[in-house]
Amino acid sequence: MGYLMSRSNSAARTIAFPSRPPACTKALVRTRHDELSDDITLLCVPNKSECASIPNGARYVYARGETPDVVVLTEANSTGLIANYLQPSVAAIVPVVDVSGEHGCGSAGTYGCVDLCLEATNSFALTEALLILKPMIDRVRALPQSVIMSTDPKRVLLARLAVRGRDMEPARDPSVRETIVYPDATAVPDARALAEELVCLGLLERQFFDKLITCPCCDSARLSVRECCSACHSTDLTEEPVIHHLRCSTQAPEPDFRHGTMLICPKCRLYLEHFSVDYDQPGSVMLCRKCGYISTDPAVGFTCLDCQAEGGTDETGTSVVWRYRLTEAGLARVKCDASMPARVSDHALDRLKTFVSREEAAERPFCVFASRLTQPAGVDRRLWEQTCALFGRLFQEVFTPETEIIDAVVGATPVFLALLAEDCKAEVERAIPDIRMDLERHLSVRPRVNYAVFGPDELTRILGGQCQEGSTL
Amino acid sequence: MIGVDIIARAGEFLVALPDWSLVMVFWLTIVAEVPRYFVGVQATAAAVLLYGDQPRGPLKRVPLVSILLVGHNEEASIESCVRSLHDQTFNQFEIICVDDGSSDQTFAIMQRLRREGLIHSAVRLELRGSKPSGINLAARLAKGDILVVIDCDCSFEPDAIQELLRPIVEQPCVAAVSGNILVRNWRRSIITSLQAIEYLLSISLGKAYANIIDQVWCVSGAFGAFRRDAWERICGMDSGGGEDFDFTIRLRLAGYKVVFARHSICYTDVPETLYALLRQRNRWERDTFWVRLRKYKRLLNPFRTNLSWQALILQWDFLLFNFLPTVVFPFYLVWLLTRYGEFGVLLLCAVTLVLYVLDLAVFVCAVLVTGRPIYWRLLPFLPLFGPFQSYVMRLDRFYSYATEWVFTSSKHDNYTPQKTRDWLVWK
Repeated sequence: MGYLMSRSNSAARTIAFPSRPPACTKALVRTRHDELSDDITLLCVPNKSECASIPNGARYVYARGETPDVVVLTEANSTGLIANYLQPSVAAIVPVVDVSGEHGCGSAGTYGCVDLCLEATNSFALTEALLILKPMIDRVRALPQSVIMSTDPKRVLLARLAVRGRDMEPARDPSVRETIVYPDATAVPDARALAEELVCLGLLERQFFDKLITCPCCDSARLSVRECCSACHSTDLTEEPVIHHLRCSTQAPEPDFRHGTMLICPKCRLYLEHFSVDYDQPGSVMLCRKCGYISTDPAVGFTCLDCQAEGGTDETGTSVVWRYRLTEAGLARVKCDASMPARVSDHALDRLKTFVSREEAAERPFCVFASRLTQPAGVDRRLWEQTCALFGRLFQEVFTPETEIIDAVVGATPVFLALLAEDCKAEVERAIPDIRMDLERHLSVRPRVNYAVFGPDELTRILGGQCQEGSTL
Repeated sequence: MIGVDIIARAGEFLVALPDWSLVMVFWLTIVAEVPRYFVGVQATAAAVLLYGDQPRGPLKRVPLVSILLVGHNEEASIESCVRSLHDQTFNQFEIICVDDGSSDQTFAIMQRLRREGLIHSAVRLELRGSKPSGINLAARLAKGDILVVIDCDCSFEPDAIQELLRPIVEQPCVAAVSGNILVRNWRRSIITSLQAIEYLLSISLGKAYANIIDQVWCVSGAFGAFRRDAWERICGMDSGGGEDFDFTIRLRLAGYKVVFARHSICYTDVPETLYALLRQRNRWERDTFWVRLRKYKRLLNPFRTNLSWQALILQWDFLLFNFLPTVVFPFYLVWLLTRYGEFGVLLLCAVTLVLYVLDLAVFVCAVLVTGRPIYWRLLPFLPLFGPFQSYVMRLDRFYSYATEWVFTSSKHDNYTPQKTRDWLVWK
């Protein structure tokens, strides 16, 4: 094999091969072909022509209903055509090889579904590619048919990640407002939202990738960040050295001393000739040429490249970017034929149901303490996110460590539930003022919080389907 | 009983002495101590005169005020100082901070305070340049028409800034105002308690009296306000120690009026150990010597042109009632003990007890003038104050004057960088 190049903006790997295999390696090629013992099926897209040469042990499929082991792209930017030949779930799961030799001309987002790129199209290169993809091919073949043909995008996404044996990695793409794309979204539309739902279900887990600074007006991450004047936000700053005349203790920016090429003390009118004898330069200051403000601590400001909004960095929002990793539960869910939970909130409701049934079986008093946060008007998003996070931590601390806590988002509002075993509703209701004080006294932003306590009867009614997705909570 | 016995024996001896002999024995006390208590009596009168001088509400039409904070390794105190300033009844000011070559987190704290909007500007100097140069830079950056100079380790009464500004705002002839400085850590040790008494007597009472007779010659660098035009006319502070005293002298010699605002109270920490106190006073006394007898020795000459009677009084008052008694005191002590032997000690004790009565009177006046009843708690330490001032501090002062006079020891003072000290005039 030649050498590998990792693309920073794509999950695909590019492999460079010599345009034709050297003669001395022909025996080696034959040996390598023998490793492709299985009958591997290839689908060429566009399906106009086949690759020039096909490795031993491989064949082309043409029938629309047949599932290939590998999709081979023979023309540049033809990823969009895969959907014409394959069912969406199959297109997303089956590995894709680009043999057009013109890969990389698309953005990370449009090129994300390609798993391998070949710089040369010949039997030798394709054989090497298929050998690399062999583990993926085997994993696709091991999937239940119901998964391969699934119409559930969440399950398809899980299968795609399981087949490739990798995380759902974000990639930087300055052509989009968020500056981050998920290449897997090319194969599975809306992959990020689906991944978030899968996280709630415990089938994927988040891994920190980056935190982006975003525009408070339009949420774009395409910001031009630079030093600016703390007083007027002008970027017309100039750095001036500070001069200290040792003899008379006059200390001021250099322009106060500068007379042509000479330095003359503005106080005692003496020439400053010798550095470190007559004068020192103990530091420098940033002088704003617009308003005259002087400081050594300029502010950092931004301009949004999308909406042209300007401001200081303290006004910006933040957005955390995650990579998503398949959990053991997620992998098991792909391998078995079990159905997926229908909605995100089902996970929270599942836990709630488990709690209720367990406590009812134990015939103990129990209740659920719920608090729902509403964003006050005039509070920016970043501060609100911080407040919600702090509230969540405080919520954990208010109750005993063994108390089960559920945090969920119902509608657009965060809801925190404390599942209180062995506490009856009346007792908890009496404690609401104390709990409220503990939860809210540390918050600089006072959110509007609705507190409620649900006893066994109400919980049974809610879980019995009389309320939609726990919206009562 | 011992004290009564001492007084009785000393009293019998004194009664038996003819008048001229009495003067011969107590000439130093009569020359050096009694005038000090006369000052106290006059200060009492001043307090009575100032009885109606109470704070009079918010100021009207205050020009822009800039507060200058210059610190070197002040990470422990700068934040509380800034926050204390923002708790003032008058807080329409900008704060300019200069970090004078700190090696600690001072500038990081300044940056944070700027981001919080508590200070207007923060400037970092990599090299330490001394306090006067730092203040000069801060004044250059300030936009205010009134400059308030403050030490980073100070905290304030809520109306301190308002009362400090009042004379400048209401009297156009006033160019500088000295604030009233009291001791914050007076409970920490006997040494701090004695200093608290000293501050009460010399600043709260002494400057109130000096204010009456227009003899305020030192606006402390820890807490003072200056009119900007006056500041610029005399081109800011000069190099060397005692820069606040030097600056005020130059202001007054330029014809400006300087006053004391006794209702403007700031608190500062004083040295807690005797060693630290002696070191601090050594430096102060050397600076005083340098400013008065080296830099401004011309002011001692009553025949010079452009004679200022007030400056002349200032200098001769120092010479006669401070410098000479300090220099003579050790010799007097030796003379008294060699001439009267053991009985000399009894005489000194008797004098100390008599002076205690005077100290008590002055202390009462000082606390009344200051208007802070908490300082009545210093009363138990008052018996120590007289002997401490007479024997410890006066001998320390003698040592300072002697080393400065003979060895110009302030030349080696590390309070200002060597490069700056090299330029000072040492004659």
